[in-house]
Amino acid sequence: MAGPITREQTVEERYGIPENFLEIEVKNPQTHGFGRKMYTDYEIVCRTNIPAFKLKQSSVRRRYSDFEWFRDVLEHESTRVNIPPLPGKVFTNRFADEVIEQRRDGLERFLQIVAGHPLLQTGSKVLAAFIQDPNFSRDTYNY
Amino acid sequence: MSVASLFGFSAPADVKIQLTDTDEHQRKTFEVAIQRTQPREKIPLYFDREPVRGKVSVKVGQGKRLEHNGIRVECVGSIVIFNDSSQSKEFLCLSQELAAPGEVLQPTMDFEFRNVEKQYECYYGINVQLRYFVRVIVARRMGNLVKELDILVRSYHPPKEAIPHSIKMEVGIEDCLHIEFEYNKSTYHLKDVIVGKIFFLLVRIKIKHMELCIVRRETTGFAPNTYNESETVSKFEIMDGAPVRGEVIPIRLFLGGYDLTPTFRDVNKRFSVRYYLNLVLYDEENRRYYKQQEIFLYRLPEDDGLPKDVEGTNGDAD
Repeated sequence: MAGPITREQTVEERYGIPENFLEIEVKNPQTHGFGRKMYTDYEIVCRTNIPAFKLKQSSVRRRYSDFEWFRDVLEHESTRVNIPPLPGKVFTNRFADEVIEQRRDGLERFLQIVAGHPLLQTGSKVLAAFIQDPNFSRDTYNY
Repeated sequence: MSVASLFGFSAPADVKIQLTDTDEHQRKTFEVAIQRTQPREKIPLYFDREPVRGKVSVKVGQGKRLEHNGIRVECVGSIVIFNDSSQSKEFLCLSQELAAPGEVLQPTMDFEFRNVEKQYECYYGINVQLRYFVRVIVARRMGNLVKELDILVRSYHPPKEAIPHSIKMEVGIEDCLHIEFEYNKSTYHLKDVIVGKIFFLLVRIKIKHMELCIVRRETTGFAPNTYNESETVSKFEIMDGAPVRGEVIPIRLFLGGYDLTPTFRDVNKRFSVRYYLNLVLYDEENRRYYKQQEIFLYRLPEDDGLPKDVEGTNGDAD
């Protein structure tokens, strides 16, 4: 077998920020509106250097029903990938703190699995838009 | 199991086979598990064209008599395919009559098979078994008494590939993970060492660890109805932690510690056994990324503690 390794690792490669840097957070739940129009939305914060995501940093707000729509589109886009489940639907008490916290945690877990999936990063049209685009809206998105 | 023993009667006779020329200094033995669920036994090694000699003893209980329809001894080579017995075959069956029909008169009877052809290596697998054995049949009206004794046959043919070459390949997922792997050879003997390395060209996923597995695949049947049984012979973690671009992970895998056989291609046109190196990477969500590469294994006489020219010196001194 060939002797010495011909490609040396550069200092930047060895000690710099790795190319797989991706941090996804779902935080800051906020409840808006009154009465029957009340709803909670969450902030999605993304920091990354993966080229599949156009922005190195982003912050957008999305609500639970947006996640449901998003998950549905992902399932239709790809036959090969198993999309993880969302935290369950809640019918009573959906503005209670513990419920919101559980849901926030579940949504964060969901996004971390989905955003880090290599086949979705390169194959999905909706992934980066949902996570990063502040002008994104379900009505205007055509897939 | 004869009908008589089903009803709780003890066996009518004790049939034993004993091979001669199996002195420790004359003949090597190896520990082999013939049935995977049974413990290993010591089986003597015979070479191609060597004679198989021994004695058969049929002991009847005190005061008892055993009437039979003939006693014969056979030297058998057989391939058994467990999931499809129609594919099984006794490709070798040499027969010798030991006693004509009547009563058991002599307690021991000698047998000798000369110039026994042993062209295949024994294999004791998941769905396939290739065995050589001596079989004694005491024919009786209410059920034959059958006794078998295994012998071991191994092949020391060098591989056909003339020029040894290394395996070097770049694989990956576009824009996500690119690696180059290199193994020093494509053909290894059973006590060889796999020396190689993995070079990371692009790492956009978060890798948790990497392992190298040796996989055995048994194939039986003919296309399109081939049947495969795969087994991971060993798993070997070669990297723990997240690599980055430019990193090199060395590989040094000693084959001697594992239960390996030579690569078998189309034995008696009935089965194949092939070996693969499976390089597997796991990311932080336990997604698997793998690349399988066939390697060819062969047995050297030295692997079994035999002199180099062992194959040329056997056969009957007639």
